[in-house]
Amino acid sequence: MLQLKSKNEIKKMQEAGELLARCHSEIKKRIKPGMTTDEIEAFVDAFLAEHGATAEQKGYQGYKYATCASINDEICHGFPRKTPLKSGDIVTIDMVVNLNGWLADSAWSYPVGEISKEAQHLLEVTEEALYRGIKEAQIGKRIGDIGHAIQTYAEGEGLSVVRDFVGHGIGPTIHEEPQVPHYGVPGKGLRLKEGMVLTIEPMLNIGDWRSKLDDNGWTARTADGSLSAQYEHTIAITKDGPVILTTLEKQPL
Amino acid sequence: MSRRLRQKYLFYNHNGGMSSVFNQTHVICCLDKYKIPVIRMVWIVPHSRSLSPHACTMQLGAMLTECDDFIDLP
Repeated sequence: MLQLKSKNEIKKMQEAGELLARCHSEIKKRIKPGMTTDEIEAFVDAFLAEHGATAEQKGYQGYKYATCASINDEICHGFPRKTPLKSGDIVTIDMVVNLNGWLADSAWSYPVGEISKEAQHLLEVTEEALYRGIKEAQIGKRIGDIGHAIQTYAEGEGLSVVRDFVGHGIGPTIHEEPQVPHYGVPGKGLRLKEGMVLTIEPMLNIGDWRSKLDDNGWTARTADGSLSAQYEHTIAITKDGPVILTTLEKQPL
Repeated sequence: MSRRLRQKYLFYNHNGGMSSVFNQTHVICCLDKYKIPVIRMVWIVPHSRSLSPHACTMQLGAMLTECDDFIDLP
């Protein structure tokens, strides 16, 4: 069932979200060619421990890591590894922070060194698509409005929207109702209400939207081998509009 | 952490609120090739058994956009 959150509960999620945003900003400073995603994983583990938080993904349905580290054609749920990142790669770091029992979820795609114009376009459009989706998260609108805004913008820019992975409700547990597809029909689907806390996390591909799953049962990658990127925020729906919880620019609730 | 889209049937359950003639409505959808929900089957349980199928159909469009919950079919 879908659980609406109180203002006090949303404040607690905002604290987790601010910590997560700080972690991402530290990662951004560190990522460079030669670094490994294993090193990013170790940094995140240490950073969260230092601030009294834990990585909620670790142990979730058997997932072993604090981060998902998805490189180039990997869409999501890539495993951290010892292979050094090289200039031209794009890597998405996704993590869920648990601070005092309340969660926040955010993913960012990072360029490694110098990347191609196509990859840069992919990153820029994916980030903008996220904010276009967030703008639609208003009381009285519907889940389909969020997905439609993302899909029409992304496809208008010549990119495709991943179908098999979606955003979700979040609170004291990672994956709550509802599902939040990043595609859809305007005016359709669940009506948005005050107190909903959702993740919006478009995954866009340069090529086709279809994906395939690796033998590890977790890592999804583009079926055609094209690049994929993702940006994600956790947001709360309030009477004053959507409030991004996973940002350093803390908004009043 | 992204959630894997449920590939199976979605089960929409709407209990009241839209019309006094209905006390329970169930709508089963499946996902088309673009993963968009498509309606496959509808049950409507009216308060009044005298309600005609036509009247039920007339109410359906409005109700479908008001579905506010869904769970997996077992």
